[in-house]
Amino acid sequence: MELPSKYRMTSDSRLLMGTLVNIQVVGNEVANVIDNAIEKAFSAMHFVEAMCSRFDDQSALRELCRHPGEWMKVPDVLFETLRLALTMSELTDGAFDPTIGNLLDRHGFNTHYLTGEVISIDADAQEKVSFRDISLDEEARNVYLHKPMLLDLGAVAKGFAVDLAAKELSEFKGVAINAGGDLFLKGVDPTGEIWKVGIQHPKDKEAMIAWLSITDAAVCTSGTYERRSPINQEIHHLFDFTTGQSTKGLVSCTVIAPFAMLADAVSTAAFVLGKDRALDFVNELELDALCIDDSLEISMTDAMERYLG
Amino acid sequence: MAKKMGKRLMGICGVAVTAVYAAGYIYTMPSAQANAASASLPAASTSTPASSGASASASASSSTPTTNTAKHTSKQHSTSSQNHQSTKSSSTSSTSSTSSTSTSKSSSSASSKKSQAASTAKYKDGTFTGTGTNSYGTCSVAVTIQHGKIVSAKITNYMMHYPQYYIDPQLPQEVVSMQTWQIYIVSGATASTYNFAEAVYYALQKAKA
Repeated sequence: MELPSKYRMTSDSRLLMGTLVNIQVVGNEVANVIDNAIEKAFSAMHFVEAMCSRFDDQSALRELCRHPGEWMKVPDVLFETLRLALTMSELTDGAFDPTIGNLLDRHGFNTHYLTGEVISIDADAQEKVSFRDISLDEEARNVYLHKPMLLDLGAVAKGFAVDLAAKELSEFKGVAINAGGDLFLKGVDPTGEIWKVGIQHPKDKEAMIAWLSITDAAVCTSGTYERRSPINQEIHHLFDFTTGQSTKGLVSCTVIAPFAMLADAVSTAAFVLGKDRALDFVNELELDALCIDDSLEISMTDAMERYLG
Repeated sequence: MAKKMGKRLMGICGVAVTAVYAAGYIYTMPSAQANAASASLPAASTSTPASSGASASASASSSTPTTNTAKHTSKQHSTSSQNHQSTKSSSTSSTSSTSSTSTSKSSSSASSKKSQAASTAKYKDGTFTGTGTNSYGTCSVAVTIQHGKIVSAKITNYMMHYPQYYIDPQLPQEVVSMQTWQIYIVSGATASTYNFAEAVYYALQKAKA
């Protein structure tokens, strides 16, 4: 059967922020208009990476980390990312914590995804740190690090990049952005229907465990099956900062929110909080989630049902 | 507190997206970065006429913390980055791969903020392609370098794709009938960047001066 396509779809993929980013635009505008808009969207994402990357020693984040003990002026994008991250830290009593960079670094999450370069950080950044060692000046938009530390804003920055890209593409009939599982869907797919999103099966790379029908929303999945420590395969990249351990119990947590930066931050936080607290946490924030535990049992928030199918 | 928190988080995100979108994607790092770049400052301050107005003004004011708002400058000039060589990389001499894909219309806004990066340039400016294999098949990337830094790594060919989706019993029927995996988006399925490592490696080898 032929594809009953109502609209043309333009697709473009790049390697960005340590992952494969795919942008799909649905619309019958001339190719040039769509291509330029996609280019602009990727530029926005590249900008976020250039400012907030832990792996690039010329990023604004690394520059900030080189200056503990002084008020530092940072770009808006870094300030806003930090603000959301620190709010999540408060909400989770530190289970979610952007000062996790050193810990990730020690477990071997320290290689740039394009150049293969291993990041080298200051030797004195060994002291025990937490999100409480960061102060923000909302008026001047300055940041103060009370101790040497390596920040990691991966969870929020990637989502932020997706949100900015979505904003750049807001004039089109339909948009789907996928940044390594951080999704944003808008409008319709090429058939004129709302988007269908598969949630990857945690144990079988090529199967879906659930399907969502969803649009005008962000979807983000945090899972243990994604990134393992190159040093110890038992350790994945989602740490509970209060224990310093990778979290057990859940294998995947998918959150739906109006912003990708929020969906990413909340899914990471919920995942780290663990099986018993994840759904309550998401419910309290009036968002929706679908969690899968290590026996592949699915649990979800009450309102999640409406997206299934 | 919780219900309020949901609203507060939403507010933070709304402000974040609006503020950064409005300010544009240019930021010039103050102080220390400027010092680090001072070694090659001649390159930045005498940047070629080919660079756009936005980029010129950004480099000129590199010692002060400015947020340039020249967001919507036109970015069609695919060749501007080639002309914009730093002084030290005298090896402008053509590699055939520099010409490359039609898609390398790099944004002038992205390039201008990189003007200080020349001091650490390890790569020649231009677009370089590489091909590699991964567990699914073959893939190619086009890596674009501006001012010695990677600004884009575009997947130009990706022969593979989710072989079992078509026969997965869980798949909605319409997917099978339409034979188009592309319009179905997967959350959680990160095609790992490791899959592209080989292609990127070869592209960067070509870019090395």
